[in-house]
Amino acid sequence: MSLHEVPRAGTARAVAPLLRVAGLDVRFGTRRGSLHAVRDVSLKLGRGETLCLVGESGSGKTTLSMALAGLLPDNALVSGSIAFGDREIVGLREGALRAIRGRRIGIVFQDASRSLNPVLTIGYQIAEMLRRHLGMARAEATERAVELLEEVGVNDPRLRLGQYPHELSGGLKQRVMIAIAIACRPELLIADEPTTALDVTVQRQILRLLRRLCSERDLALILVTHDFGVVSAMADQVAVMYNGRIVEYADVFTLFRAPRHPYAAALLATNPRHVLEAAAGGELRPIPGSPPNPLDHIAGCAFGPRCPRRHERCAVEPPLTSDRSGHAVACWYPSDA
Amino acid sequence: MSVAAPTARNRPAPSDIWRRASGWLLPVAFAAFVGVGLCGNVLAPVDPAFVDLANRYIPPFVQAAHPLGTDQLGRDILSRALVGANLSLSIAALSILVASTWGIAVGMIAGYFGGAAEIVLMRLADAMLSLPTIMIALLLVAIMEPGFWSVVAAVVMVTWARYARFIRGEVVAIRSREFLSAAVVCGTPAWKILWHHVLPNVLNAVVVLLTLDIGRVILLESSLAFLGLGLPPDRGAWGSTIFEGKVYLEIAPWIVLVPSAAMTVAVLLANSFGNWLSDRLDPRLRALER
Amino acid sequence: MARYLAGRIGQAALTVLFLLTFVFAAIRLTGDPTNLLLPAEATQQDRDLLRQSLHLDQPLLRQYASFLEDLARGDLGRSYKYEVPVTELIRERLPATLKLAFMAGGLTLLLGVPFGIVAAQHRRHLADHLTLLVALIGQSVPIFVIALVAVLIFSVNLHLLPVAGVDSPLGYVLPVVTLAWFGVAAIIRVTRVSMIGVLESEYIVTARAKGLPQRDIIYVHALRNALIPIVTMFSLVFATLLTGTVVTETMFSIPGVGRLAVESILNRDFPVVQAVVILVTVIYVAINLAVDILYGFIDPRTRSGGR
Repeated sequence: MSLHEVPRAGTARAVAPLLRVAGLDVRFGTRRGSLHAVRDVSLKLGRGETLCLVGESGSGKTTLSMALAGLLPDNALVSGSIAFGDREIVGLREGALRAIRGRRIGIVFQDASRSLNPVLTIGYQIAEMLRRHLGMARAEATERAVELLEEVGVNDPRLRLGQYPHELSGGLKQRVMIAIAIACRPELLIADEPTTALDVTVQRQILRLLRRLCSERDLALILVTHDFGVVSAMADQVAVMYNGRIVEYADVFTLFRAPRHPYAAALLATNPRHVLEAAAGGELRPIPGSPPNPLDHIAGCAFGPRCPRRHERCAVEPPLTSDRSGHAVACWYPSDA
Repeated sequence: MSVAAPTARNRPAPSDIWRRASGWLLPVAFAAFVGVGLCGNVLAPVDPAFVDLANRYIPPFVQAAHPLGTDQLGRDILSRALVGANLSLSIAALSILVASTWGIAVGMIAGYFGGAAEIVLMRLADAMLSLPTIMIALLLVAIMEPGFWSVVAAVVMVTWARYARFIRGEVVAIRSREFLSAAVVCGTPAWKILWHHVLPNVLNAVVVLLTLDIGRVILLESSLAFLGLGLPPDRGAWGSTIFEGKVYLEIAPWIVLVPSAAMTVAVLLANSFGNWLSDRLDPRLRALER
Repeated sequence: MARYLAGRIGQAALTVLFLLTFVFAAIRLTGDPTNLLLPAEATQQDRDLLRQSLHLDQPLLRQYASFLEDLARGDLGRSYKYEVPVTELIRERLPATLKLAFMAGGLTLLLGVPFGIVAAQHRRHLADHLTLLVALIGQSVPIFVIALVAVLIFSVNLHLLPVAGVDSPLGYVLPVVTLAWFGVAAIIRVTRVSMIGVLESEYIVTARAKGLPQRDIIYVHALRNALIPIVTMFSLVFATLLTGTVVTETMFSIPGVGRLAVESILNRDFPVVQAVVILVTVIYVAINLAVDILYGFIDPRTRSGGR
């Protein structure tokens, strides 16, 4: 019952990418100063591709994913470019953003218990997507909602329509969230730690569901996670983030086989599977120190204080440079490929 | 990083600055109010009952002898207002004291001994709290004849249950803590445990409840006075003064406005001080505010 | 849902029973009931007659039973002053009070909720501060002060509205506004706080992520959730409305049951007082019950076994 039995979404095509981010910078104005959450991030995503954003908390991965849908709070200062299809997201008016959100970009949040409205029925919360974005009539929307629930693997879909979120289990709620997100056939799905709040067995089911939907619908997926198990199961491409920057970017096989950035390598080494292997005869090596406070302004490489390969050169911020195969690293002393 | 709703604006607000600056203003003002109130009788420049028909309807700020003017019988308004403050505060103090003592006792017994006592007492308290205040007050005043004691009784009756409920909750919470079990094991009698261990822990919250009740009680007592159901009008309670002065609204509005302003300030101060205190002492209490 | 309803109705019934017991106890325990239940000029003969009819020589329980029986039959006694059955007096006066209370209650919601929503949406800026100021005044200033100031401005100086009486519809304006003021303030504050809390919830983020129009987000997603504490506050507000009607009726000389009760106390016409207290309290309990039932509809979580 391996996840790998479900076909992965296609690899990048030669056509223009669905999403192209260039030099994205996100700052928050807080009482304690300016919080620089996302620093000079660039990436691209093709149709039907799955990109995983990995990092510890505070790495900026959630902020980045929210920025892509224009879902940041009022006090966020965004500069750079997010080109989604033919539209530029940065600086777009709220009205235009609303037309895109839900319709062309679907979002799945981490905790379905808190992300579903407790006083509205499941049926209503799905159908309103169809009514508002696609102009469907109530009856038609209800029927389509039933179909959607079936597609995401919810049993007894007609019964569920009239139920409220608190009557459903965690796994079912998450399936409902996914149904809501794909209801209008979006081109891009953003999932922020969609399985973290679920039991391990349910996690696999949800991931399988996402994989299936993405390949069936040619849906691009950006998956934010801190769990490399999820990355190995889902990703085509992986971007490792640290302190608001992408420090390594590669396709999943390359990253797992030969990570070049010391942080990425260290993270992979703390992966549970590796930990087990290490316990069997090797060493357990946690990463010393802790991630920097995003409010602090750090000169040079942010990972420097914790890096075993640190040298004088690291006092200058290393740029993200990619080699011919598209594998990018931001390090003065990356491991050999 | 949380993704707040589009309407959340996170700049530092002017209200926060104000709050920090006026730190001790409130308790000082409240203390002044209580001081003035309790000494009202003494502070009154003129005998408030002195009828001077030659000097009726003098407006405020006109004569030095009567800084706030005179009423329909020539009595000094400032003095009457001070006496009114004294009356309101005295009644409030007495009735809150009795109500809280009674309520705390009930709450402690219910919380500590549990079982049937707890169920019965708490049901009583709940039922008491679910009846409208004014109706109970009217009933008691009717039975006991309007006057000082009926007002006190009415206030006590509608106030005690809140203390009982709160104290019982606190006692139940403390009941299971170790130092209490230790005391029980040592064979300390129940009343001693309650007095020495439980009471000090709930004192903070009780003080806040007391303060918040002052405003409430002043309003109730004044309402009863206004309706003619409190002390006799010549005693000068604010409510009575307002009621009597109502008919002179056109020709001498200050008769009514001075005690009204006094009452407003009193209630505002008491409530604000209560809030201030509750923020300082015990943030949990915000939830109790009705 | 049925279980929830049954539970609530049961509780309401118990409260009413407690009230009746309280009234009964209060009268019996504070001395000779005949003092209260007879006018001052009653003779010893009258007293003895009353003793008999009230079964005062009988055990307490028997008296209690007959007290409840009388009430169940709708017999609320006779007024001394007016020498008519109390029920007649009440029937005459109740409409005015109900009109006043319900109009004020309606105004409370019609003004309170929208202003609260506006304040929540424009948090910490001018609209919010202004609204909060109005709310603060409303909750701190005693009702008769508001009434007096209103009368001073609108009747005495501007001559727009009548000083007293409700003969014309205009006559209702001042009393209703006065009465509603405190409630409006309280509802504004609770709506604001509730909406602010709700607007920061994750399901609102989801609603934004779904690309829904702002109108849907505020009125369908947010308000429905924010209603719960608002409804709670409303039943508390209603209690103060009751207090308020007694004062307002006196203030504006409105012929309602509140004023009737006060006059009867001053006239030592106890049967009327007793009847009004019981009746008004029962109405109050009924309103609270209606509110509780409303909960069941607003918050589906209550239906499936409590929160």
